[in-house]
Amino acid sequence: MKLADGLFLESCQEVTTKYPSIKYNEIIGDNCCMKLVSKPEQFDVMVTPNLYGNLVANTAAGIAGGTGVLPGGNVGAEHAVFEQGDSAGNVGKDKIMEQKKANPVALLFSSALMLRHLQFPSFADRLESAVKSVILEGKSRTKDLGGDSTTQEVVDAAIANLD
Amino acid sequence: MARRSIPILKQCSRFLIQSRSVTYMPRPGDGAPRTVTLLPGDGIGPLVTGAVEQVMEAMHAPLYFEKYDVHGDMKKVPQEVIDSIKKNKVCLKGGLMTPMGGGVSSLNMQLRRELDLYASLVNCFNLPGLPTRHENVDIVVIRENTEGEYSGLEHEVVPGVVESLKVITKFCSERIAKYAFEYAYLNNRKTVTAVHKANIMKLADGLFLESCREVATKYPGIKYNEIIVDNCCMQLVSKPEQFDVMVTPNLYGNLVANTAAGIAGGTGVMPGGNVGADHAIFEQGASAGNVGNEKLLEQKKANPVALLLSSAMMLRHLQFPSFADRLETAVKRVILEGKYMTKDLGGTSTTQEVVDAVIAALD
Repeated sequence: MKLADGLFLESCQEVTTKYPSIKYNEIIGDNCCMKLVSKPEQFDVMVTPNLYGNLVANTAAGIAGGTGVLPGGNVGAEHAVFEQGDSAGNVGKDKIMEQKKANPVALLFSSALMLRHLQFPSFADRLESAVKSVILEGKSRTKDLGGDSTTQEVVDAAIANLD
Repeated sequence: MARRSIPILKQCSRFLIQSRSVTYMPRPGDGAPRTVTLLPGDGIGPLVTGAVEQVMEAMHAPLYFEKYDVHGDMKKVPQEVIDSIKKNKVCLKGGLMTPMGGGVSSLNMQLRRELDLYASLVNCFNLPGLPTRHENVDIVVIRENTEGEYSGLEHEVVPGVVESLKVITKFCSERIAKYAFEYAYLNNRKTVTAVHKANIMKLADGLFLESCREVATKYPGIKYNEIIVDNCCMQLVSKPEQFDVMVTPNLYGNLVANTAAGIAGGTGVMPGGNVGADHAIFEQGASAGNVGNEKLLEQKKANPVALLLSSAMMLRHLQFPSFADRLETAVKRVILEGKYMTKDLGGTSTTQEVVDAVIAALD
């Protein structure tokens, strides 16, 4: 898509010149997906147009632990909406809802992002440490992470781990 | 906490000091550079502010410094300096000497009064790599900055008799208490201790205590206690780990902050700042007369760590948390390694050597 994606690339290249200490490179969408699943550690920050971003984000989320744990948000000049990083169709899943086994970790991390956005960094740090300890311990995990806890059990564990 | 006495490898230090990987989602435009007023000042001031300038450059921090020449023996702070601080809202200060006697009022006090920087904060804590007699010290002294014994109201009643007025107001006591509790709440601190001598100054310190007690009722999750200042000094030197956040009137705060700084590693390493509703000035936490120390100046052995850590506090105040973390991590690494320390920490390095080590430790 020479004109459309070409314009996107031009814009990125222009902005790059203002940040000489940050490396910039470009990668074609299909090559990117392939590299993501074979050597994801080479990527750092990725900027994408709308559709590729949706696909790349969900792929990267799947690689790094699943859409149930990764945080994200949407921000504009004046407002911000925080939500689970990627949901890849989870929202309408009836089975998870009935058994109340939805993974709250992603939204908990996103709310830590929100706390930093609201400039309450100390609360954000406490929340993140608590959730990370719960995951590290491994005792309370929902089905997508290989355990069999319910949402409430994970929440109780996170609260118990707060300091 | 595990004891780490002498770190050997830099690899070892990289594990001990973990830089957090945390995600901050900036608003668009948050990366625009901010202007900060810089006042190098007297004595060792220019040396240590020079250190901060070099490190900020090395980090490519989004800051521009507007430097102004101010010296302790000027009659008053130049109007252009005040205007600059009012415009930029944030200032970094090296150190201004206050001449003794002679009726010249302190420029430091003038700045604080004019900009109404009513809270002075000093964070005294043990740094890994700097063993002191006490461990687990992490005290934050929040000191009322505008009134009390520093009202500057003194007069000679008759020759040979001088009266000095200590003024305590409900307005100032209340707002410093509010700041202290709010700080404790926002930084997950558990206890606020009010320091006073109300058994002697029943009305003045009594008013201060009343205000603290009122504010304490609004923060039921934070423990509040009171301690008489002489007992406080004794406890500070015997069991400092019991203290958390301390809120004090002006003079006691000055003494308690410098004592706590000395306990935890020296005034050369403790960061601090002065904040008001609209402006903030960051400087070395406790300077206890270092500013005019001629020998330090000649040999260029002033310790830049305190001002570097204060500038990390300033970076957080300006909402550049990631740069603040990198700076703090680098400084803590240098102290942990122990190779480049100035004379007050037991080493022999010059200011410049410490700065180079910090820049090398940046990631």
